[in-house]
Amino acid sequence: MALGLLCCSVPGAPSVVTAEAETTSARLDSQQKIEEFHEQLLAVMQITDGFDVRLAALSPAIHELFDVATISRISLGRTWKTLDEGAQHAFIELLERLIVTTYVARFDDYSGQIFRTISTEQTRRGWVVKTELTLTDGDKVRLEYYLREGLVYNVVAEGVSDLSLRRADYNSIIKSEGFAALLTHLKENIEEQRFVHE
Amino acid sequence: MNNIWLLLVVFALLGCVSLEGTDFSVVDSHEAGNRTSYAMTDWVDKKAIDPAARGYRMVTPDWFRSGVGNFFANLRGIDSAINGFLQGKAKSGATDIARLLMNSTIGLGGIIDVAANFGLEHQQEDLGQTFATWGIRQTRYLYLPLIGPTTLRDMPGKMINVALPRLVLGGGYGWLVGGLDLLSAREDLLTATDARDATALDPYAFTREAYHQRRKFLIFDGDPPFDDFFDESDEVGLTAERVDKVEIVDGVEIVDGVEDVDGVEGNKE
Repeated sequence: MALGLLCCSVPGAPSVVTAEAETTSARLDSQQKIEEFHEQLLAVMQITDGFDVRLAALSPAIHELFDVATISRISLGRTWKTLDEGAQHAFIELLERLIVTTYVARFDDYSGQIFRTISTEQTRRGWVVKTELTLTDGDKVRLEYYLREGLVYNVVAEGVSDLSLRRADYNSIIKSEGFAALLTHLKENIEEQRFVHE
Repeated sequence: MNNIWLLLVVFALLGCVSLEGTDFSVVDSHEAGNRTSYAMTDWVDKKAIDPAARGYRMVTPDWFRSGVGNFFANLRGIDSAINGFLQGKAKSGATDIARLLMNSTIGLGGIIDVAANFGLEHQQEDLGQTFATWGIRQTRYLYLPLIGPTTLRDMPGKMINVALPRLVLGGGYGWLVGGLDLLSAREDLLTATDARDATALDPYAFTREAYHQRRKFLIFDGDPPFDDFFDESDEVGLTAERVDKVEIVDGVEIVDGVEDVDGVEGNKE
């Protein structure tokens, strides 16, 4: 009722109210996505049937939440533009496999870890959901998820950006050994992580 | 008096060598030497320090390691307190002083972090952050043998941090206590270095980037400026016009006068 009166009496008010509602909705949507991802991560950590089962359980969540195409493009810098569509697509698939494998390898044991959302704030490009992971020994790790158009493109742990690390790491390899070597290294890395955690 | 001259020399050096690049850019103009230093340090670490730290973790209980870590962190709290005040953060400096007093007395010489239970968290300030706050924001990256990553700006603070327990404890900081300090510090880093070793393709480049970002995070007290990966030039890619603007200075690509790392203009620390 109060909203209705405001809309009728103030010129331009409906568009302001709509914009505010959309902003609130986008903020809640971003936060909900991250909280659901954390729930899935905790559930996967409790699976004891082996690496491949956990991999299969987490893959859909990563596929839906992460903007792997954007992560690939920024990680490769100007090399990205030199690849044809097929090569770009193949790289995106490889990177998605690596991201899932790394998550499953790192979050491989549930022992009472707790995720907590601290805040969700607007950025120039979308939203950042600030969270905190409390480990079993009480240590806390700050995790920030940067979203653009509803998808995560960067995860910052204790101030260290995953996307910046990838960009520095991959471009160093491209510069010294070439793009083909980067692909080989990434494939080897996936296999090594599987081997250690299987 | 000698100390004042030394400080002036350090300031002069920092001023001379840090006037390049954009705000918070870090230039690795000594990359070849740094990589050699990294390789040597990594070899020593893998052969001796890392296994010793794992052994230390295996044979000692959590409460013991926590006590040792707290003890040395308490000694180094003096550094953090002074630098909190030097940066004009009275509350931060006072918090570290309160921590120091509380932990040194009730906390049995710093072994128990009693202050944390009262909401007094370690402020993590150092001389490198103080220099950054005073305006020295551009600097060169260095990887020191057996010491690790630093920059010209951060190096004096790092040296103070390493030497502080010896200065405070004097003769009490012998081989045994020094060895325990080293083991405790390395054990504390195991999780981070294990994560690096599991995923990094070029551990040197990975460590350099992680160091730069972590330092910026600390300089801005956990709230650094938003790092925008989507500047307009990146959205459209490297155009022919943009290629013309690229030049190499000290091994760093400069696009239109701005440091450009890997196709994104103005890549910052």
